[in-house]
Amino acid sequence: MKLHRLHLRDVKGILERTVDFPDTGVVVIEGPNEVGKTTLLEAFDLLLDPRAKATSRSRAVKALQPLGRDVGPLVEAEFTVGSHRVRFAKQWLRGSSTELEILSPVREHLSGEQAQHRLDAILAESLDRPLWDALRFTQGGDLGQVSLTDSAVLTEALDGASGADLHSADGSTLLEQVEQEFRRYYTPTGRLTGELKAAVTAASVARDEAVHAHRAVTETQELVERHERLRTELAELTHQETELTDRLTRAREHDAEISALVRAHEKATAALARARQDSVRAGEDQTRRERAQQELAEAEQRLAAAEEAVGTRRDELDVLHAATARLRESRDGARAARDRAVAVAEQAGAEVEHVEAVARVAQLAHTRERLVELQAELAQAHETLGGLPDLDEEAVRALETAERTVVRLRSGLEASSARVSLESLGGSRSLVVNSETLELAAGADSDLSVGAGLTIELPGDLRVTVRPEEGAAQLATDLNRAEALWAELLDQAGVADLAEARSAATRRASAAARVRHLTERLDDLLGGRHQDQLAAELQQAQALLAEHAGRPVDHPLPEDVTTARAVARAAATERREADAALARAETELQEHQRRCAQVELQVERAVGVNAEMSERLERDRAGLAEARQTTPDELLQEAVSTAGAAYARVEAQMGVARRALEEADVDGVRARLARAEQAHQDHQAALVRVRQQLAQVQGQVELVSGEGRQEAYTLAVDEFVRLRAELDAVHRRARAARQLHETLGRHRDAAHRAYVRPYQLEIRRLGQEVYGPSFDLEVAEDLTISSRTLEGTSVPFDQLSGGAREQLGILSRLAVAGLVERGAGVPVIIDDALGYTDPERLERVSTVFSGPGERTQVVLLTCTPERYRRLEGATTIRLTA
Amino acid sequence: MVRFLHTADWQIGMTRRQLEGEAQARFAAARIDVIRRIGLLAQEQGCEFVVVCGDVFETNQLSRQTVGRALEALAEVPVPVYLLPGNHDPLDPLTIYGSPQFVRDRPEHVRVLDGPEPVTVREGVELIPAPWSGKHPDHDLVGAAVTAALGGGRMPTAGSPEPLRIVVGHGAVDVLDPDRHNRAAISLAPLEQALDAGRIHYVALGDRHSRTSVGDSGAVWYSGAPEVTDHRETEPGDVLVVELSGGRPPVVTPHHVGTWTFRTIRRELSGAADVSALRGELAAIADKDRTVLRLALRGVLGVADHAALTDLLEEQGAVFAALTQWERHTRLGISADGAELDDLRLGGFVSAAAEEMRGLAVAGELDQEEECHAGEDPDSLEELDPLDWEFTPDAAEDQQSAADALSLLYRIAREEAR
Repeated sequence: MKLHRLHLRDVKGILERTVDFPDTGVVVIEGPNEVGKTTLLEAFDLLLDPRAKATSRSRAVKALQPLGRDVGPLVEAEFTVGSHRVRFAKQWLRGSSTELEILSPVREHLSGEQAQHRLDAILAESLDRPLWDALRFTQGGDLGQVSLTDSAVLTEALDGASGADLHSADGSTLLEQVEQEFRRYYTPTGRLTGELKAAVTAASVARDEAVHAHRAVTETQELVERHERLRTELAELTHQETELTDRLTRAREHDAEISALVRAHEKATAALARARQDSVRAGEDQTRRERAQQELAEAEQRLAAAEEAVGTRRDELDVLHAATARLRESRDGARAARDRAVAVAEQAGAEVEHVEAVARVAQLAHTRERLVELQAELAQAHETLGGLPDLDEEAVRALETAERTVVRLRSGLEASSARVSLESLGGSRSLVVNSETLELAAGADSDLSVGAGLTIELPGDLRVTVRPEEGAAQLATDLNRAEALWAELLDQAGVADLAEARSAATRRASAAARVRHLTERLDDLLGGRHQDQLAAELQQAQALLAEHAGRPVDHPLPEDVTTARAVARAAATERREADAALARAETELQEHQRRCAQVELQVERAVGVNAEMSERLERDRAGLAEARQTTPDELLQEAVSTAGAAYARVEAQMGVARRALEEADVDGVRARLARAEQAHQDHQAALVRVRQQLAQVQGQVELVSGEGRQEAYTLAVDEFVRLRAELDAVHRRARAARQLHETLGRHRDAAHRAYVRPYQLEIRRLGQEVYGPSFDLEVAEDLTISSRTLEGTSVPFDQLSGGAREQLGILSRLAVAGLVERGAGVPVIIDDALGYTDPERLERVSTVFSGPGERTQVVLLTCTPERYRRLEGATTIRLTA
Repeated sequence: MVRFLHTADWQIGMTRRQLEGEAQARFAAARIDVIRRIGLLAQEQGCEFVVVCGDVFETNQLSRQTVGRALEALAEVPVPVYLLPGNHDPLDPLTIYGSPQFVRDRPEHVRVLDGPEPVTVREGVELIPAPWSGKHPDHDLVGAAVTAALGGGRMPTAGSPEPLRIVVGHGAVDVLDPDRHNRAAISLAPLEQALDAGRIHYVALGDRHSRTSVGDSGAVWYSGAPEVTDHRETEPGDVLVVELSGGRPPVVTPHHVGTWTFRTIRRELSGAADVSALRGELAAIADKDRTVLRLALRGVLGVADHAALTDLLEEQGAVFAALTQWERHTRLGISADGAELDDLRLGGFVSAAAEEMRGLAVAGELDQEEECHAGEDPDSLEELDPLDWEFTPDAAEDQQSAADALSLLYRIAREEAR
């Protein structure tokens, strides 16, 4: 469709306006807001709307009326659609009218209803309304996608572009019908529903009911079969009855016969036992008699032997008694010998003691003599010692020390002291030096040591006092003190000088040593005892010796202790031997006496036994005699033979009975009877059971027979089979619908896939002009853009910015315009778009508008003309208020 | 001389599974109504009594309602009626004839032939019945009954004339029975000998639902069922009026009493002409409400003809008591010629989809043709356990579904075009 001219009068805010459109290229209609750009298009839409007849008072129509003016809005348009170029005008509300002028191919003028109808027909034939709607882009409207799949022109165009020939002009309605048919049986996801589901349910329910009915019939059938089986069984049982009864009777008769035989056998067995008993008893009686006789004889023999033995024993005892006296004598001899040996031993012991006492007295007396001597010597030594000065080694050393001190001090003083030389110049002179008179011969001189001081006095004339220096004075003092000590020590020691002291000390040491030596010897002699003790011991020893004074003097006292002791030991040995001999004799005697007592006892006992034996023998003898008198021996013999004969007779009878029994097969007969009885009993039980069961089943059969189960089953099966056939029919239709649905869907999708491609390529071509070579996009089968790719990054359409979506929306419309056939297309109208787009992008978008403009009209409405400044070759129509 | 009515195989209580609700009820009612018509006919024809030779009831286990209705109808029969237990209603423990309801409500003139002893109808007329006492007898019941009735000191004595003896039996006669090992089969030869010898005079049989004269004597007959029960039956719906007189062959006259029809139509279809011919044929059938029609259609049709046939069967299906397709003998393929589809001018992908389905629909045709010749055994439905069934919703697409889908597409597209 192509729009040539649009004329509006009294439409909304527009009093009157005419816009002429060029045949091709881009038209930019610019003007400020509210000037009525959009109104132009709305008015044109309403003009083409078949519902908006001139007489219509719909809301959309009323909206065209200018505010507050009661006028009839008029819209007139001249356009080409399909092969027709027409001018069409409508006035609504007031003075409503419709005018159609067909300009080509054949001129025609119509008005009113006719005009409307004609135009509707022309539009229906040639205007692709979905495309018309789709190629409008309004900024205020949805930024979403173009809905293009319903456009026949586009799909045709895409068919052409893709080389496919898959689109049917009326495919959509057909598809709807098929969908509707499919949905009669299936849900969109393919599950059963509607008629098919109902038919399946009905058939399944009928099947279940038939199964149920069949079970009832089967039960009945089983019941009938059971009934028949029971009847057969009963007949068989009845048939068997006579035979079983006969068998039982016969078995009982047999049993009676057998029982008689058994009883006879039992009787014979008992008789045999009795006969055997009798026979045994007779034999025993006889044996007992014989044994009694024999035992009596034996007892007599034994008694005689025993009495003989007692005699022998008595002789033996006499011999023993004779031996007893001898043994006693022997014992007494041994005892006397022992007594003697004891006396000898005692004597020997006493003599040992005697000899020892003598020796001790002698020893003690000697010791006492020595003691007296030593004591005397000691006393002398003590006296010697007492006469010597008490000067020991230490005192000597002290003297030596003192003397050395004096000598050392004196020489020291001599050497260090000032010397005073006196020389008598005239005659001798007497001088007092230190209070001592010194005679100084004429011409003589005297050398004096000052020493501790020197006072030289010429008596009456002069006194010279020389005082030593201080050290010399001290020395002198020390010397004096040492000399005093030395003198004192000498004095104390009672000696004149050191040599004497030394000699005295030596003598004293010698005397002390002697004292010590003597003391030691004395101590040795005493052996730790006191002197008095020694005296006591001596006294004691002498007393002991005195005790032995009264000894017999038939032999001399042994010479010494050793001899005495040897004698004593020999005596002791002898004594022990005598003891042993005595013990032996005693033992022997006792032994013998015991033996005698033993033999005596034996004899006594044997005598007692024999008496008893003799008594019993007498008794037995009397008993046997008595028995013989009652039952003589011959009688016993006779009883034995009689019992033997009787036993043999009974045994023969027993043999006969046993053979009869053996031949009779008792167990067999009894077992047969038991079996016959059991069989009969079982049979009766079976009869009762079968009759009961039969009665029971009969009752059940009667109960069931009125229910008509077979008929119910047949009806149920018929119903099921019928419903199944119905289901088959429905299912067959359903499958057909499903297959058709599936096949068409598949082919439609394939077709869509085929025409998506050229559409995508066209948008990409345009997109690359705007965004550069990295632009790409994906288009879904319903021709919506699913994602856009720029610089290798894909973004889903929904997540793109408003500007990007707007741009893609415009590109997709331009792409459609570029694809549809020349003449078949509709104008692409972009109302106030690209508000979201930045200026730089805007410039490039602008460039693509001119592309399709060569084939179809592109109308851009804007209030900001700068947006399209760069558009080359565009026709600009400026609207003013 | 005696005149009586011979019928059999009433099969009261029988159902047919191709019949839906109301048709089933009418079918059941027809089996009761025919009793009344037989009664009227017997009276009209001057019959002294009616013998029903077995299978009076479809089964021994019928509902009280069914038995009650049958007894009601029997009560209206104006002459004595003799009922013979057959293999469907034997004298087993469940026997209807022993049920409290039957014993209580049995009309006086209705008698059950429940033993093999001869029954004297009136002086000079005797029935020799051979009732079934179980479903599987192990010998020829009729032969045994006849032997017993004629043997044992019952030889004709001079002076008292032989009565007219009518043997009443049920089961297959050996000469007609394909099962050579059936021990219960009725031996024809001894019967014919006895007929020749004049010891018996007529053998009234039941079991075969088509009227049949057995052998050459003209005295051994199956009356057939008075109302049809199956497509296989050739002469159903009749009863026989029999006239016997000593020394002459019996006079047997069939009378049609049945009201229902079972029909099978086999046709080869190869184009629109055949479909419209079939349409005319179906339209011409009378008493559609009492006709059970079975179609065995074969051939290859174009999509449009296929759709037309489907429409035809849908229209007529509602009118007939039952209109079914005999699955085993029905083979309809889609022709490879896509002309009809082209006529619809389907464009684009719809056309491609249609082509694909047509390819599938045509492809399998040959295989299926071979298959249908393989299994020819009758009534396979009876033999399989019909209850051993589960619905399988995920049946794969096949030639059939493709043909149906194509047909559906054709119909939808045609609707669109209109």
